[in-house]
Amino acid sequence: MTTCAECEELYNLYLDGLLTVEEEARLEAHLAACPACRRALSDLPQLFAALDRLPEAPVPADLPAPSPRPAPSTTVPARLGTLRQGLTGLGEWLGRSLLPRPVPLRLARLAVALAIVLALVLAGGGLSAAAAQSQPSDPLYGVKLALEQVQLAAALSDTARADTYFRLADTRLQETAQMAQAGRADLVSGLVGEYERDLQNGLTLAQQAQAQGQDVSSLLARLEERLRHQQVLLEATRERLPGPGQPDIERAVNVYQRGYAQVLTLSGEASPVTAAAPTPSATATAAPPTIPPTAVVALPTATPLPSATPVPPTPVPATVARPPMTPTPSPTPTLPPTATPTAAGPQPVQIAWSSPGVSAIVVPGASYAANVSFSSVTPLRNVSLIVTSPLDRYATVSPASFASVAAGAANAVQVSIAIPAGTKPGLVTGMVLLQVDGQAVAPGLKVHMTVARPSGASLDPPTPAAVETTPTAVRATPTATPSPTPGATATSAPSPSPSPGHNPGHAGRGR
Amino acid sequence: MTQEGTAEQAWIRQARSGDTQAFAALVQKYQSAIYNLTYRLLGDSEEAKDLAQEAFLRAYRALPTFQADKPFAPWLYRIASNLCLNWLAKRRLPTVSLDAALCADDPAGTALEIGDHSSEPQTILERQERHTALRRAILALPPEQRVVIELRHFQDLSYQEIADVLGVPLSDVKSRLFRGRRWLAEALREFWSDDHLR
Repeated sequence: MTTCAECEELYNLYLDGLLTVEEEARLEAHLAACPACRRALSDLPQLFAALDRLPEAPVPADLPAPSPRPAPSTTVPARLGTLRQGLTGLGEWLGRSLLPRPVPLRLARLAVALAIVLALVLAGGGLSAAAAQSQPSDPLYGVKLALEQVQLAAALSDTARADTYFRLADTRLQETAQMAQAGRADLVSGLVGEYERDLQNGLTLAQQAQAQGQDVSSLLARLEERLRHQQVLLEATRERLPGPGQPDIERAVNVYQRGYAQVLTLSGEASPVTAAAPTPSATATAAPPTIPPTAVVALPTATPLPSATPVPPTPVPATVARPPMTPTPSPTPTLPPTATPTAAGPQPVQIAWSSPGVSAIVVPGASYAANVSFSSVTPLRNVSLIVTSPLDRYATVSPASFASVAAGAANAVQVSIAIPAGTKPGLVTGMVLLQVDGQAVAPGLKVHMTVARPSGASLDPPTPAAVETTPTAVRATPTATPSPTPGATATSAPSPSPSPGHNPGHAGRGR
Repeated sequence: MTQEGTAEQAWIRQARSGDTQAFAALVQKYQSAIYNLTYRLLGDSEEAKDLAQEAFLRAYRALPTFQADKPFAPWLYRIASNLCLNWLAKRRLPTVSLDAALCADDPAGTALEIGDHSSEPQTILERQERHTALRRAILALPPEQRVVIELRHFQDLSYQEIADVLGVPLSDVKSRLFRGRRWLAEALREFWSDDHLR
């Protein structure tokens, strides 16, 4: 005797095309005698049909033409005819068609007999895990690079691929640091080239994605986070690397700075350079003379390349006056100041900053300042400047208000940053925002600040020799001498470095 | 062995020996299936993309353990399914979280209904509503039932293959599948009655 529970199983198997003739007979006998089962199971054929008709979700738009659902790997067995008859018969017997449309029965591949014995070690272990840890000087490094290519191939969209490139850029820079520390200056140059290439590839993809109307904000936010860490890493590396490798690190710093400027441009926080007010105060300088002159850098600046500076404190002024990629007018309405006014009202407010952002590495106990300026297309009244949280704990802006602002005039503003002693190393970001009658006006001046480890507290203290011969200004505490003291090997430092900033995207090509 | 199967085996062989282009060909072939699998299981296109990518990566790393005489697709589905199940277990969010693209920007789910070509606007709308309801209902299933529905109805795996993919007994596959179907059928009953009217 077939129970109701058995009946459900039999009916499911029946719809899956898995019943024997004897089982079908049992099913029919039970259904004939059990109205409850007939009712309970009557919806299943429709469910099958509905599942069959459910369209595929479109794969991300920027993918190459996606292949359709994988074709069923087997032909419908001859038995389907019998089944179909059986189903129709059952349907008629139940008083209506069980299968309203042509039966799209998805018969399973008949490879049931194939036992799949998988000895899968999904995570960790094996060659690839070892390869992932390998360094450029290791034999497994080639495997690591191959795996990275797979990561790129497996990325399903431009943004995912861009993200992968940014991660690879991170990896290259970490390797740069490790090779620098290991004294492998011979490998550093190539790695910096790779770093630049990956960063640039990612940025190009991000730009493309943005041009196609995709939302790249989270991608850019992640990149910014990466860039901040890269800044810290570069600082540490610069201190460590012996003289001959210095130009390479300077090049990496330059790549980083340009990358950061591009992020600002892409995320709309930088007004295109051409739109910025050409003011004399456009170049950021450290205000109080007692602090390292370039401890705070506004980007982009018109300052020439830092390559000739013997021992440039960091971050060096970047040659990012014009980002290598042409800024694409963004579809986001708030972005280019010329595109859309951001404040409602009879007179749209359009402002521009002399620099898209301020980037700083500061040591606890120290204070720095950057001079920037803003200008407005129209005259403004009742203007105030605010610093967003959590940056407002460390940064102030002066003057904090303007009773009136003349059209087209540059209005100098000093952003002062003070990090109390004992502040934990980390990253702080925020914006200086202009408010007109209490309404914030875009774009804001982006500030990103790295609280550095105090001198002597770095993870890998440089050797005494390195301390003597490398610049210390960046990590100088207020009590340290800010002016760099060239050491014994300082003669190698002033050697002119290449100027990758003027050759965007092409340095170090080719693995 | 079909021609397609032969090409696939060649790709697998080449990929195992480090040819990333060959692996890219496999990715190309299966990306839609894998993305749709992760999307139906997770209901969020961003997560779905990430996990699809992760699935391919893991597949590449695990290729040396893959038995070349076995079908590749179930093996790949296994990796993707397990990733999604682990992810869902960690996420512990309400499981009915249809993609924002579907809920907010596109309440009718039109973005997902590219396969329909019927020209009757009313018919299209009703069909879209039904599809959206079905997607929501699938996402409302407990993950262990959802994955079985996915593998059976969308990836065409046999009961035994599903059992192998998930590493559970055949009896569990059946009970999860039947319970899932019963629940779905009940959840969508109102749409069936519409069907009957026509």
